[in-house]
Amino acid sequence: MQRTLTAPLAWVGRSATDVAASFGRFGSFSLRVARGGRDLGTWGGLLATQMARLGVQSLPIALFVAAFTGIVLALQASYTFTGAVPLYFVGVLVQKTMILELGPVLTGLALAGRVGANIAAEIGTMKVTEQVDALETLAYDPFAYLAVPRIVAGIIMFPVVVVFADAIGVLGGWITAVSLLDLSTPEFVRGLQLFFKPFDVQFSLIKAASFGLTVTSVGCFFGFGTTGGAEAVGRSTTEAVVAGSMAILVLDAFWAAALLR
Amino acid sequence: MSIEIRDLRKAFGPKIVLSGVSLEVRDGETLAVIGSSGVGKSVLLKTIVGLLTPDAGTVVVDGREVRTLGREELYELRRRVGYVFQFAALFDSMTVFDNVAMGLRRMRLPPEQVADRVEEALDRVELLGYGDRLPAELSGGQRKRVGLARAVAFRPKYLLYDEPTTGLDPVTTTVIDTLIRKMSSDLGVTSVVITHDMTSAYRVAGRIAMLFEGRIRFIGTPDEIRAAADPVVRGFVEGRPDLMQGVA
Amino acid sequence: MKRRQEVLVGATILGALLLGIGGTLWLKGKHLGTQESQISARFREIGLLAPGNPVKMRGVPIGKVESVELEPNGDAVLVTMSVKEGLHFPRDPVVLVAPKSMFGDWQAEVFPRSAFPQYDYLESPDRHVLPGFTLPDMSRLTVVADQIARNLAVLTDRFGIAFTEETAMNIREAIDNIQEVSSKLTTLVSTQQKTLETVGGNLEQTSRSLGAAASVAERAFAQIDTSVGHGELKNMIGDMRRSAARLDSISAVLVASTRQMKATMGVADTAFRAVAAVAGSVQRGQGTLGQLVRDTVLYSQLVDTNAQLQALIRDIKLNPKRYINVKVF
Ligand SMILES: Nc1ncnc2c1ncn2[C@@H]1O[C@H](COP(=O)(O)OP(=O)(O)O)[C@@H](O)[C@H]1O
Ligand SMILES: [Mg+2]
Repeated sequence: MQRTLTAPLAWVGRSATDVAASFGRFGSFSLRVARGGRDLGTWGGLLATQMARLGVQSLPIALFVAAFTGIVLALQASYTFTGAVPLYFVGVLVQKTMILELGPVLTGLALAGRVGANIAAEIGTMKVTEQVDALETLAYDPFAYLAVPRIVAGIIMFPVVVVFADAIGVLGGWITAVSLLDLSTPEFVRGLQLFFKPFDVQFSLIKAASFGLTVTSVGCFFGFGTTGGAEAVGRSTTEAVVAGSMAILVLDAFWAAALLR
Repeated sequence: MSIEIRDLRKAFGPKIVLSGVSLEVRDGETLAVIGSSGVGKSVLLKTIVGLLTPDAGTVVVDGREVRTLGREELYELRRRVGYVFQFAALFDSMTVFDNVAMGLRRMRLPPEQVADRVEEALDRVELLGYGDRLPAELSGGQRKRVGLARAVAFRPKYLLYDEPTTGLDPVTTTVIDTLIRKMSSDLGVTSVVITHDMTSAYRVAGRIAMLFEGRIRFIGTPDEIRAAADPVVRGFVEGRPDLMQGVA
Repeated sequence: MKRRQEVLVGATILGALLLGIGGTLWLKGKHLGTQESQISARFREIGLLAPGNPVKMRGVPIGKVESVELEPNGDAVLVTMSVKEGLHFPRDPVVLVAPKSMFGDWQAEVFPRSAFPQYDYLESPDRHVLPGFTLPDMSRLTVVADQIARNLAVLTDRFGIAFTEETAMNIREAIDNIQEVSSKLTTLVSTQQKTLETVGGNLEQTSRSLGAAASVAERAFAQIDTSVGHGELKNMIGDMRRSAARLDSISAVLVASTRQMKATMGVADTAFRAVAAVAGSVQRGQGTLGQLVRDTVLYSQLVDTNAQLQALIRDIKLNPKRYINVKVF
């Protein structure tokens, strides 16, 4: 009787403690990564490999997503704008939506799946097979060796990937507008240029860099937090993807509130 | 100078693993630590190199308390203590050569010297010519030997082995045991070997300590342990759980 | 292996850099290699003009608005534009700012002042800063139309005694029509429907009614001339001047946005010529009214406004294309 009454309270209390503990763990994780960042000698040589793996190899999936997003944006815009709104507004919508929002966010989400999962699984496996401990016994700081090059690569390469994604998205919309809609290239380009501000691109890249930081950090955090066996690695991987995706959406809202007046 | 462990305590959450372990490893000896699975042998070994921090008690290596060391001092200590992991813990993505060279590169030795030292270490574990292989291409025994080579590449003063023979066939077990003795005699290292295999323990150790319910239950030479009257020790040594039942 | 990765990463980053910078410049409408020069113009206010909006001359895009800045004392707005270099501007150039469509895209266009002498351009002490004027947009137009309707209502109330039944009815009708135009405009703006042709038709009707009203007013003036006291005359003329001024701006923009512009303007022309005739007879000093107001500022303003209006109407008749720039779609 009394147990049933207090159970929800206990649950709330326990959840709150858990959340606070997670933040605490993430805080100390961040500190160790920051400390590892000073150890340039350890991670500097590993950066190129990670940039290739997280960035260059992510291009196909990011471009695939972006191309189809551009196509859908163009079609949807023309569907919505029937009649009252001039058709060249398709260009406006494709440019604004692709560069400000969908380019960075969809790329971020796709890479949260690919990169975040990859990092969490890799570090998680190293953790449960004691390779992380082995690094320690060989006098390496595992955070400098494993986390820092991945996070730095993420911060640099996400914007790079997003530039391509933005471009391919706009291109996809363009080709669709010209081939499937009654729109000429000059009209579409006019729409593209109509409300364009260079800040749009900056905004896109700022978002992308923050997503890169988040996805890789979250991947490393869950990777390092893995204890147990293969099943634990699976759990960490899932958690990294879920937490990474949620963080991207929250950050996206944050940037919109902070930078779009 | 040697390793001195005093009143070491360690718990994970509510689970108490070590509740007051005191143990001294003498210079040049090979000490085997035996005990059932999950009793805390690996935890004990990890606290020696600072991979785990004890809740209470001290671990003193070469006169310095491990817990008080700064990062650089800790790294310096780890270069004196080779650690052989239970499942070798080789870096999957690297070749055997790179695995063994990892620690040496960290010391910023010139490449030729690294190559020489890797060669020497692989020679000691009789795996010369395996440098280009990936860990996935090796047998379990070979992997353990690479793990050992990686640990001795530093030319350490201490070697800590975490269950070096677990999961190996009897022939390979003998090969590894021979290697352990060879390291001890050739390099003059002080070794701590964790095992739950009594045959191995008798073969490699000068002294044997038994960990039971968070403490050292017994410590002595192989002859002394064979003659021990303690039912817990006898139960473990003779593989008779009925003797260990109900005793604490 | 490692070297190949470095080359790959390097190439990717370089590609992104080029694409990012090139893309930004292209979307900004800057084409590498073309030379640009800067011009600026001064306005009382600029509506919804924003950086990036096109700058045109004779309907051809020649550049972009670079920046809009409020002058430090807050009295005027300075608009800086980048345009293709080496363009020959007309003599005495002015800049007109107007909505391009109803979706917030505005434009600035360079004209010779003689094209629209009627607008009250804001001159600048700096010779290099062009004078500018901003046309009202649709939403403000409805407000003006509303005001005209109210002013006409005041007029009819005033003239209620003096006017004949027919005059009063004509004016009433005009008010109704203008109110209808105004409400149509409001609906147009809010629903963004293409009902402009209806509006045009209504406007035509309005003008015709106004014309009738004016011709009756001509007769009425003659009556008033003899029958109304001095103080009231001043008010009447003030109201008329204000109405005429508002009609000026509403006609300029509204009329330009209809296809039946020519026809409409024809009727409007008659309407305003009628007003001019009244004024003319006053100017010649015929009657007490003429005596009274001759040489007063109020009076000359009324005549000016009307003259400008007629010049505009003539211009629209001659060059309808020039006004079609201010189009709704
Ligand atoms: N990092 C850790 N977190 C939580 N529990 C741990 C951790 N490491 C070891 N343990 C627990 O401590 C106990 C002793 O483990 P271990 O020392 O690996 O045993 P063994 O004697 O077989 O080597 C086990 O019950 C294990 O679950
Ligand atoms: Mg163990």
